[in-house]
Formats: sequence, C-alpha cells, structure tokens
Amino acid sequence: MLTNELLGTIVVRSVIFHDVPNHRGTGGAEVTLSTQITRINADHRRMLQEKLTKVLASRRAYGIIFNAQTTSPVPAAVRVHTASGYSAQHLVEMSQGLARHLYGLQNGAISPGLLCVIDIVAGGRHGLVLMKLEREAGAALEPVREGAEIHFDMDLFSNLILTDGTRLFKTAAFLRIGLGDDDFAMTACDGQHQTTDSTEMARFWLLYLGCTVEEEPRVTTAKFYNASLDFLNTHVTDPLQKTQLYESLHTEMQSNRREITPRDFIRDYVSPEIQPSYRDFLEDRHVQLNSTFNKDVATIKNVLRRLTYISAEGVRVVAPEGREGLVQVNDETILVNDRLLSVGPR
Amino acid sequence: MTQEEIEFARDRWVNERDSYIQFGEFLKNELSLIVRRLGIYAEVSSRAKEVHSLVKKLIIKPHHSYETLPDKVGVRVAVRYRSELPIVEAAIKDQFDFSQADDKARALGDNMLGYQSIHIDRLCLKGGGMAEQFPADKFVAELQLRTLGQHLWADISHDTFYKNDSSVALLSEDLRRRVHLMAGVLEVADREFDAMNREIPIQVEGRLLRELEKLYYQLAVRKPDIELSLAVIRLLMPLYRGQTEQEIMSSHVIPSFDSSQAMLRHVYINHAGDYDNTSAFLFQPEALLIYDCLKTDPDATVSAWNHRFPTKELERVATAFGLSLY
Repeated sequence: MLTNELLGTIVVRSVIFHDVPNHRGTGGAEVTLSTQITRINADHRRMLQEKLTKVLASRRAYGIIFNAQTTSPVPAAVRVHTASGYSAQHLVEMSQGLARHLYGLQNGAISPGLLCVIDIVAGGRHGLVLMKLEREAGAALEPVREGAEIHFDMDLFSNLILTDGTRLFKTAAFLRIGLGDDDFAMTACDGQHQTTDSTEMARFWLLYLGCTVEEEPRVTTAKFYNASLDFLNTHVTDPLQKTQLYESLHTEMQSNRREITPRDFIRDYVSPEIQPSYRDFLEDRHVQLNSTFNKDVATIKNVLRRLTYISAEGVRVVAPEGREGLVQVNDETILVNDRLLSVGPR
Repeated sequence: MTQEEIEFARDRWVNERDSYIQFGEFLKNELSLIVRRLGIYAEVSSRAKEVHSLVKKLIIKPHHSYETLPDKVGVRVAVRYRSELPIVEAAIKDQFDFSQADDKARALGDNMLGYQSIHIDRLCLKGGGMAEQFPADKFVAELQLRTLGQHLWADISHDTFYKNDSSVALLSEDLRRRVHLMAGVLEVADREFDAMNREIPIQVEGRLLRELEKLYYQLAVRKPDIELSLAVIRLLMPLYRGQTEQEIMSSHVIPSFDSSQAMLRHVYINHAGDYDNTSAFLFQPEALLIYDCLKTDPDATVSAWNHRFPTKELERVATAFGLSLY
C-alpha cells in the first residue's frame, strides 16, 4: 500500500480524461477519447494531489496486487508506462486503451463515468493513478476540439470533484518501487462497495483493474483476532480487563457489523490504560489501525464457536468449543475444570 | 593602491560580482541548513559588495589588493540567544575552512563596551562538488556571527557612528559616554534575554513548544505565531493522557518525525512560498504534534480539534502530510 510518507510527496505530472458512457450493445453512446493531455495549472495540480491523498489515505482504501490470471490490460499498461521515462504521447495512447477497456466492461447497472489517468511522482518514483468519476447517464460533457485534437477542460473536472468534496471516487494508484513486474506499492479505493461484496457492481473496479485485494479479508480478520488474543494473554494482567477485552473481541467478531476499524474497536471497548500498548502491539503485528477492513471470520470460525451449558437452576456456563475436558457434564453436576479469574454482573 | 590598480579592481569586480553573488547565496543556504539542523532559529543573510563599496574600501584600506580584500562577500548569521553562539560557531567551523575567529566581545575586555560579534575573515569551502565552482583560493567570504541584540547595536551604531572607533573618538566626552551607555544597555538586554530564556519557569505547554521548535526549525525558517502554538498544544496534550513533555517528545513526536523525515522535508519545501494555499497551522512547530496525533488517533484528534479550530484547517494539514480524515 502507499504509505502516508509516499502520499505526502505526490506530485501530479500530467492528467488526461476520457468520457466513457455505459455500454449497451449496439447503438449506444460511444466513448470520447482525448487525443491530448489536459492543460493544468498549479491550482489544478494541488487540487488533484489533495483529492488523491484524501481518497488513497482514507479508511476505505486497501492494498491491492496484480491478479496473475487477469485478462485486464491494466497491469501490463501500468508496468510498461512506469518502467520508462515520462512521455505525454505514451500516456495518451496508453490511457485511450484503458478507456476502451472500461467501455467494454461498463454495462448493466454500472454508471457511466470519466476515466481520469494521472501520471504521478511520489518519493521520487514514477506512478500512475486511475480514477473513475461517475456522472449522471444523461449529463453530456463537451470536449474541447482544436482541429483534429480533443481534450477535456480541467475546470470541468475541478467542478465535479469540488462539488462533492467528501466523496471517495473509485481510485487506484500504482507506484513503481523496483524493476520487477510486481514491484509496486498499490492502493485502491471504491467508496461505494466493500471488497467482500460478491455482486457484479462491487467486483467491477477490481475486475477492471485486473487486481485482487492484497490481503483477503479473512486473513486480515484472523490477523486482528489472533494478535488481540496474544496481546490479552501476554500484556493484560488485570483479570477484569482481560475478560472484558476477550468478551468485546468475541462480540465484535460475532456481531452483524460487516466492517472493523481496529482504531475504533480500541477506542470503544478497551480500557484507556492499556490502549497505547494494545495499539503498539497490533502495529508490531502489522495490523493496520486506521484502515477499515471487511470482516470475514471464515478462518477463525471454529475458534469463535462457543457452547453454552444451562443448568436446571439457571446457571449458564459458556465455553470455547473443541476444548474437551474444560466442562465436564455428569448426571447431577457440571464440573468446570478451570480457575476463577473474575466475578461480576453480566 | 594606485589609481590604475583601483580602476582595474573596479572593472574586475563588475565582471566577477555575479559569481560572488552566487557564492554568497550558496553560503547562505548552507549556513541556513546548519542552524536548521541544530534546531536553532537564526536570520541568515548574504551580500556581495556593491561596486562603489569595493572601490571605497580599497581607497580607505590601501594595504589591501583586490585579491586580499576579505569581505567582497559577507554572510551574517544572527541567532536569538548568546548561549547559541558557540554551538553555531562550532558547527560552522566543522563544515568550512576558516581563518582564526575574532571575537570582538573578548577584545573589549572587562571594562569596555561597544560592538560585539564573532568575525571569521576568511570562510571558504573545504571541498565537495561546489568547491570546483567556488575554489577556496578565490572565493572567500567574511562571516559575522552574532545575536539579534548585538545585531541591533551594530546596525544602528553603524548608521549613527559609522561603526568606526575613530569617528566615535571625535565625539564630545558626553556623547561618547552616551554611546557607551547605550552599548551597555543593549548588552545587558542581550544577556538578560539569554538568562531569562533559561531561567524563567514556563508552563508545560511552553516547554513542549520549545522541544517542538527544535524539530520545526530543521524543516522551516518561518517564524510561528506563539499564541496559536500554545493554544493548539493545550488542546492536544490531553490526548497523550498525562505524559510529560519529554515523554511526548521521546516516545511519540521524535519517532514520528524520524520515520517521516523525507516526506516532511518535501512538504515544507513544497509549501514554502505558497502560504496562501497552505493551512495556517502548517508553518507552526505544533504541526509536528498534530501530525503525530493524526497518525496515532485521528478520531480523537478531530474530536478535540473541533472544539476550538476549523475542521477544514486540520484537513489541510492532514492532506499535506499524506493523511486523510475520511
């Protein structure tokens, strides 16, 4: 993923827009391809840089990798473009290909949009950003025509972006960090959809990019859960705090909420005294504190499962499943083979 | 010098002055970097003599030739406090070749008052890439290192008494006494500022500001608004849950600063000169505290911030540092 240290150094070199309508078989609107890069001034540049940072550093952003099985032309285009020095002509031709590819995929309920291809430098490295600015189906955008050349005016897009300052557009950034085909820091953001959604619309952006999420949500979920368990077992000595954190963790994992932001979980459920050490511990275990990830408990579902024993007099004993011997049920008694950590109201 | 020699020197200076201006600018940037690395605020300037000044100097000091005239280029570093002088002097001597430093204050002894400054007559490059462009056998500069208080005296006395001891000697006894009294008053003020800077008990937010300044001046030279600094620090310190200023610096701000130095330098270079489009909070030492808070706990930072300051300003600071509030 692109870190804030890289995002803080983003410089927009040039930008080109293509208008990509919804593809509805034959007879539909055609894609309008720019033949020139868009002229931008210092204000436009700054506005674009700020917008990119807001999106790519947001909680909705996630790391991606190239999908080895993809038929999308995006990975190859990114690799070739960033491997060589900057060329405006190459940016035009390459981005036209990416717009045609978008046009080919953009059908059904997928909104029409403007594909914005931005050549960037960050941390002294060459990169490329793709951003899709969705627009109303009927809203036509007139390009500027100068003889045979076509381009879109930057002010048109400044207005689109600025009128919806908080909206997180579909965006992907690829920053070359080495010579290899996969030596990229990559981040994507799809403001409207989660990476675990299985609908066509939700998968659309990643499909177009020819990428997959860098870390599957089930892996991220398990990493957060296991790191939290390790923390409470090694760093929390107070029995009450230990029980509270354990219960909160399990409640969070089994709740109907579809997303987890570790930072929010810590703020809402963890005692202030142990918050800093918990944060440090999670960071050491490479858990992204500020990123929101989609909860997927597939990997840890067996650990989460717990059995509840209810006695005739209403005593409830809840125990992890698969820990034979912890609770021993006899004809007239229930024996818990464990030591008492705490007693408190439920 | 003969009239012909002076005329020759004039022509030569007209031809060569531009390269000396570049040398002065280069020295100014290098000296600025030195004081910034030390986390010390300083006003650094450079100048190449005007053509008429060079001619006058050669006439007044006939024992000098064009080549030997030491201050064709002058650079000046003015710091706030006397106790910072030896620190800066040592750092400069470490990086440049130099002649013996002449401490004018020492020359005054214990019973005289007047012009004080550390002078190095011949400052030149030790080596490195720029030494080819500015070889040490040709490009030398005179360095003046002083406090802002000493600079005030030097600046005004230069205009009033022409800095020249002999011109002072021409004054009446009463005027001479007043000149010396004024020098004494300014020296006392200079010493008091230095002493007070070390002795005055300051609140914890003031102490934290001082520590933040040491990092901030490594990135920027723009003077901050102290009142605003203290207000922001007061607002954000509770997020560190009772930690002392040393703990906040050593456990949080300094590690954040160290791990993001390249980006931070880029940000401050990139925004210098573009103040109109920059957050009012960026060119402030506490921006580094804001950065750490945003990285550690953005929600709590936004929540605290919104009690007092506009969210839009925080958003600008965050974006500049590659962070998002969304």
